[in-house]
Amino acid sequence: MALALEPAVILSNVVKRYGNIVAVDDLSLQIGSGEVFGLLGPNGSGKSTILKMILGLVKPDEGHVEVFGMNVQEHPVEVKQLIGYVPESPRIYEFLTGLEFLDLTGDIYGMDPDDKKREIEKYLEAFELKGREGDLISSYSHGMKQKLIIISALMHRPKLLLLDEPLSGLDPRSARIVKDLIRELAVEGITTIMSTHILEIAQAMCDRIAIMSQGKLLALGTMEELRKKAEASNSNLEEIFLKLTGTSDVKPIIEALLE
Amino acid sequence: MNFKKVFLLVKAEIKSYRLVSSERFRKFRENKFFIHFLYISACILGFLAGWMIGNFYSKIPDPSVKDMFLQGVILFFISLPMVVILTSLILTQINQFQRLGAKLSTQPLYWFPISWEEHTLASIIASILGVPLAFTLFLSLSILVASIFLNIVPLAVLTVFSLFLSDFVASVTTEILKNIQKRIYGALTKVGGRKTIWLRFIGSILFLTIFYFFYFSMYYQVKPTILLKTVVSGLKNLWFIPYTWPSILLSLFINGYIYETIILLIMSMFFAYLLFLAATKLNIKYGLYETPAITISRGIYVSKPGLLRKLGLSAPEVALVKKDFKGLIRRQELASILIFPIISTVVVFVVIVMRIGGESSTRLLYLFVFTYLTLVPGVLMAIGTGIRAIGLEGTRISYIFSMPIDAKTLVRAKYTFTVLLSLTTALICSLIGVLVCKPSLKTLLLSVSETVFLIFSLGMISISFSIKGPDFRELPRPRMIQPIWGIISFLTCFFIGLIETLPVIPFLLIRFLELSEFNFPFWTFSSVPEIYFYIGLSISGVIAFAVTHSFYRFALENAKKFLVHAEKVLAYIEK
Repeated sequence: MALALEPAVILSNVVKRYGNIVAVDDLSLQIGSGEVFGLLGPNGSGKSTILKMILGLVKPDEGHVEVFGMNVQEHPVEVKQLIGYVPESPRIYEFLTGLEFLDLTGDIYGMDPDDKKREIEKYLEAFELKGREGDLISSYSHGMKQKLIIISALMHRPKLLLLDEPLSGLDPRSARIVKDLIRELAVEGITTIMSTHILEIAQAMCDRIAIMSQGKLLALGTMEELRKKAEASNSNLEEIFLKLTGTSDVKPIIEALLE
Repeated sequence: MNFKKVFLLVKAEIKSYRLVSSERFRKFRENKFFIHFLYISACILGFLAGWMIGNFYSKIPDPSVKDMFLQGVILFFISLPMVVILTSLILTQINQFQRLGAKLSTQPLYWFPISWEEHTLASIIASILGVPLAFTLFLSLSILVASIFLNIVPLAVLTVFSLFLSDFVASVTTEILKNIQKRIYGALTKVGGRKTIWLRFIGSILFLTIFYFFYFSMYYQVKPTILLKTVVSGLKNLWFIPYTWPSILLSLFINGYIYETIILLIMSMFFAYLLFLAATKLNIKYGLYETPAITISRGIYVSKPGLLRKLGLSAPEVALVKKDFKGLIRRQELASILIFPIISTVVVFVVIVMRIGGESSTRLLYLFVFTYLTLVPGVLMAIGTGIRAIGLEGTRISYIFSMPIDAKTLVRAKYTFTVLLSLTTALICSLIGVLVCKPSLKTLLLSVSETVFLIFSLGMISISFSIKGPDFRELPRPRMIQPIWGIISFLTCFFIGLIETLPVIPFLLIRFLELSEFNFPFWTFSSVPEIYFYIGLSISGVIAFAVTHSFYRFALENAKKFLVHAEKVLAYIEK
């Protein structure tokens, strides 16, 4: 499906090593504009590294990454200007208020003051942060901080969203807003690449899913394509995932733990 | 109390130094020698010092001189516990001051099955680690080794015990003060809301100013030659203050009051225990105390192009500058940036208060004080802030990396913050100087111009090194710059600052000599042709401009490399 669209992100034979550990092993991917793309995999399978490579935070040892036709390493600022990023463990300025943080982010992205105010107001309302926007972030709960970082990724209307475990800590209402919003944004042509451990979310939201294990791409495709590959025609994503990653038989582990 | 748990907690504290300090973030290998280097060095130096004192003593031929020397050493021993209490109190407080930002990271300890007594004891011991412990080890080794030659081993053993007791008492006091401060701050927050931020900021400045004024006044009034006698005789009059007991008990021991010594020793230990109980009680009450949320503003507003935009800065640059100013006022641990400018200002005030004398000496003093006040605090602020400008981001540097910020924006924003803060400091100090010293127009022009030149150039030098060697670790306390780059930056600033001021130094010297009524054979300040004064000032300005420009290029290159190597920095932060 996505391959028919203009590519938003291209990863060509990308390799990333940390000492002896191969975090990403010869990965080639094309993600089309307006696609919602899911990255699945056990801990340490290289999902976050892939997102960071697309953003330009991590330099591939081999291969190259292109975002909207631009080489990420050659045009780091131009590429970041088009991206909204939600990191796995956000580190934000806790001495600022929520509003000041969003104001700072808007200014860095060069937003017009009126647009900035409108967007901030809109998102604060939607994520039920209105009334707390003037409080120091240090007094926010984990979920509130996550909402703030999601707003900061969305408010400047990026063309590409990189979301690393975006729903972690969100209440059900806010999680629903994020899910629906991503789908709506996809219709407007905004690409989303998200990593998640919540397989139901990936199944419900993503056009295509890549399953990673130890830096390698195990499977890639729509739900139907993955079912075929796993030879499990009526299975859900959890069963496919466990089968493909070779972790389906957890019974002996549980028995050993209970001994 | 389970001492094994206390030991494990202290060990965890020592290991927190590993964080973000090594490039080998995946497999950390440590050399035990380097971990304990500070303590090993203190012991070796202490041993050598004790050996030298002992040797010196045994080679004194005259018995009366020998006896005088011995009496001097004994007097010195008596004063030591008091010296250790005062030093440790300051050091442990600075330690706690800088660790305020690490609160959240240390909280998980409260989840474990650890009692408050164990937690409090571990915290007290951890505060002594580092320089306070090294200082005590140095003194102890010196005392023990010297005492063998001087034949006063029992007194030395008692002194060493008193020293460690003093260290403990100082650290418990800091623990108590920390909790009281936490409670007061919470109460202030409830009452003051957003005003609390300013109250806290101004309170920190006032605390440091008053503390150092008192400290230097004491130092200035008590001449070093009579320091020991003053301390010892003063102690006897202060017997009702338990902090003096470790010193007084040594005095009693020397005079042969063995029973009194034992009683005071037990009382000192009991006092330390009482303090520990108080610290534990306060920890139980306020250890997990969460200060109420501070509401800074109500309603939604956004920043609009202001004065800084009109001065040519871009929107991202202005946003970063504003963010840094807010951080300076709101982050308690950043108050350490203010310490040196405050000390440098307080010192001259103590000099003014103590030294104002005859007409000519007063004029000379006023010239010195005005030049110093205008120049030193502002320039120190430029060096101190510039060198920490990147490191003060801490782990939030990952936000900068993920934003569309280029090298130029980063350098210009950090430079603007440094220069604005330093110019404001210089302006305030200079105004005080003008009011107190009433300088001539030429002196005013000279001092202000040089200050501006130095702030602009040395600020840029410091920024460029700040990008080269930042330290983002926040535990156990934020350092913000790797020591080696801090030293390189300071030395570079010193030499370039000297070169920059060289063209105008002759004028200042002549003025000083004139005011000191030294008959200068050929010249007086007023007889120097006016044109040379301006030429000197202009040359100084040109050098400052050239330095600023060159180091701006250097800073840009460093910033480009820094942003490209984000991965390396993030690896330290995230692992």
